[in-house]
Amino acid sequence: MKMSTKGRYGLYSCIQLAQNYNKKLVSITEIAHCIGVGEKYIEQIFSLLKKGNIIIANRGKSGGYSLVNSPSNTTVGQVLRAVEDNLRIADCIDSNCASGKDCPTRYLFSTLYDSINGFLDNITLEQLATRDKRVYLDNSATTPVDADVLSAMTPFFGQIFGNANSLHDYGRQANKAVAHARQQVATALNAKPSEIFFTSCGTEANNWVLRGVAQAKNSKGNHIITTSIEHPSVLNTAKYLASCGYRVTYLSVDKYGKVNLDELEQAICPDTILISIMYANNEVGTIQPIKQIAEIAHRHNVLLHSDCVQAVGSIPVDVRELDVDFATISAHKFYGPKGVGALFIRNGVKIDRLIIGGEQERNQRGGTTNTPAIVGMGVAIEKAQRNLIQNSNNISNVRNHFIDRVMAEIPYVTLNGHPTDRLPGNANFSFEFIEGEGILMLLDFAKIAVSSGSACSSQSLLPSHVLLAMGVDIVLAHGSIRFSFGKYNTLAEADYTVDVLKESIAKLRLMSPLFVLKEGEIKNV
Amino acid sequence: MYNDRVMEAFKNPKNVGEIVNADGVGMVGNATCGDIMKITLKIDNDIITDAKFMTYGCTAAIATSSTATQMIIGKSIDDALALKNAQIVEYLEGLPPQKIHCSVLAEEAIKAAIEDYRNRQSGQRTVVDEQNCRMV
Repeated sequence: MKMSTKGRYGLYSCIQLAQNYNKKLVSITEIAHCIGVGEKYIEQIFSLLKKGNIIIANRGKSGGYSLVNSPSNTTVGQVLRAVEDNLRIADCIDSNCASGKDCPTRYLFSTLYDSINGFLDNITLEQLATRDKRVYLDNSATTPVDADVLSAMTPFFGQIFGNANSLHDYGRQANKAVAHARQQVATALNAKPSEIFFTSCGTEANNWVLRGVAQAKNSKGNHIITTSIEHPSVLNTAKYLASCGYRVTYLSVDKYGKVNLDELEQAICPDTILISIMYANNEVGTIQPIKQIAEIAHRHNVLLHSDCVQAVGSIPVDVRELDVDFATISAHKFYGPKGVGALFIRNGVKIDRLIIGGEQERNQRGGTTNTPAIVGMGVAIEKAQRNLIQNSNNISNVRNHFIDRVMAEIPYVTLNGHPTDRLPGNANFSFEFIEGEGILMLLDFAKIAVSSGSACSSQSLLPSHVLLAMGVDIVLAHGSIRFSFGKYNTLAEADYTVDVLKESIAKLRLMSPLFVLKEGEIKNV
Repeated sequence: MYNDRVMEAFKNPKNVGEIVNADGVGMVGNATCGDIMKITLKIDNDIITDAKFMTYGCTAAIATSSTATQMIIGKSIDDALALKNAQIVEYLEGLPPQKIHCSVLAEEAIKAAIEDYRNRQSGQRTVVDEQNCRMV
C-alpha cells in the first residue's frame, strides 16, 4: 500500500488553500511552482477535488481556487477520498466476492479500511496548515531525534531491556549494542573505542574533565586556563575549582569571539595543568583554531580539553587531527536523544573519576548503562558523520540566505560572530533600540522558535557573557537573538522568518523611546 | 514562564506613544540594565485624562507599562501616586520573580511624570539624571 503522488499533491494543494483561506485565491500556477510539477498534472488533481466538492474555482482576472468549507471543517479523509479513488485498500470491500461476508480476509480489510478513514477524518486541514507553519530555529539548544535514531532505540526499551553489565543473555545483548555504539562514536571522531566514555550529558563530561584533571594533577600544579566565552558547565566548574584553591585564567576573545594564541602562550605557567577551550561557541558559532592551540599546549606539556558539543555534526571533529587530550560531545545536538553524552580521553592520559559507583565504563564512570540512549547516540553520530558535508552545505545555504535578507531589509542590525569561521547553522544578530526577549516572544507568537542573549531569564540583569566578552556594547547585547538552523529547515522557513522578524522589529521599535530619540536625530540631520 | 494575561498585555499593548505637549513626562531606567520607560501624562485639574508610554525592555517591561497607564487614566494625581507596583503585578495576575523590578520601574515612571507635572506647576525645571535616566 502506498499513497500515490496524486494523493500527496492533492493534500499539499489543499493545505496551501487552507493557509490562504479567506485571504487570497490560489492559482494552479502557484501550486505547480511550489511542488515543482507541471500545471497539467495539478489541473487533473484539481478537477477531482472540484468534483469531490472540496475546492471551488473563482473566475476572473484575479481568479484562482479556494476551499469550499473552512479548513477546520475539511478533513484529510475527505481530500484523499476525492483524489485517491476512495482509498479502497482491497477490491473485495465493496464488491460481491464469492466468499461473501464470512471471508476472514474481507473482515480484516474492511476493519482496516474503517480505521484508516476514521484516522484521516480526525485530522483537519487547519491542523495541518498550522502545524506546517511551526519553524524551529533553535537547533543549537537541541535537535529533534532523527527517525532512524528513534527506531534503533525503541527495542532497547522493551525487548532488549537487559542491564549491560549482567552476565545472562539479556545483559550480553545490551552489552553488544553498547559496544557497537562505542565503535560508532569512536569511528566518527577518529578515536579508539577504548577512548570513549559515555556520560549522562555534555555538562557531566565537562565537569569530569575539569575536576578529574584538577585532582589527578594536583601534585603537578593548580593552574587552569580557559576562555571567557565557555559554556556555563565549564565556566561554573572553573569557578568552583577556584573556590577550592585552584587558579583560573580566563582568556579574552576578540570582537569575532576568537582567542588570541599569544595570550594563551603567555598565560601558561609551570604549574598549568589543563587548558579547556571550546571548539565552536554555542551562542555566536565562532570556531577556535584548536589544532594550533593543541600545538602550543603540548609544546608546554599541558593537557588540552575541547568542548566539541556544538561542533559534532556541524563541522568535522577528528580528535587525532585536532590533537586534543579530551573532547566533550552530546547526542541531542546531532539529532540523537537527550540524556547521553561522551567524553573522549586519549589513551594513557590519567584523570580521576567524577561519578563513583560500579564498574561501568571500565571502572571510570559509575551508573547503570543507559543502553537505549547510547544506541541512539551511536546511530545519530554515524548518520551525522555520513551526511556531514551535504547537511552543512544545505544548512549554510539557508542560513546565508537568511543573513543576507536580514542585513539588507532590517535597519540598525549587526551580525555577531566571525564572518567565515562560524558554524554553518548559526546566525546571531543584535537589533538596536530593542530588547531580545520581546523579539523572541513576538516570533514565538508566530510559531518561530529562537533564543535570545538578553538578560531575560537571569537574575543578574546582565546580557550574554559571550557577547560582552567580545566587546559588544551592553545595550546591543540586550538586543541579541540567536537563530540556529538545522537539517530540517528550508528556504521557505527562512523567508517566513525574515517576514515576521521585520514586522516584530518594527513593532517593538515604535514602542522604544531609544528608537524615537534616534529617529529624531536622523530627521534633524 | 509568563501567564496569559502578561502575554496578552505584551501582544496588544494599550496607550503606546507620546502625548504632544504633555503636562508631565517621566523617564526611568537605563539602557545598560535593559529597561527604559517613558510615560507622558495629560492632566486637567489634577485628574489624569490621558497617559501614554514608550518602553525599551522585555515582555514584562512592556506589559507593566501598558498596564500602569491603563490603571491611572481617570484617576487623580494623588490616587496615581498611591499606585504600588504590587497592584500592577496583581492586575497582571503575577509576574516571574526576576521580573518584579519591571513593575517597580512602571510605578517609578508614573511618580516621575507626576513629579515633573508638579515641578512645572511651581515653575521649576525637572533635571534629568542622565546616568540613571531618572528625573530628579
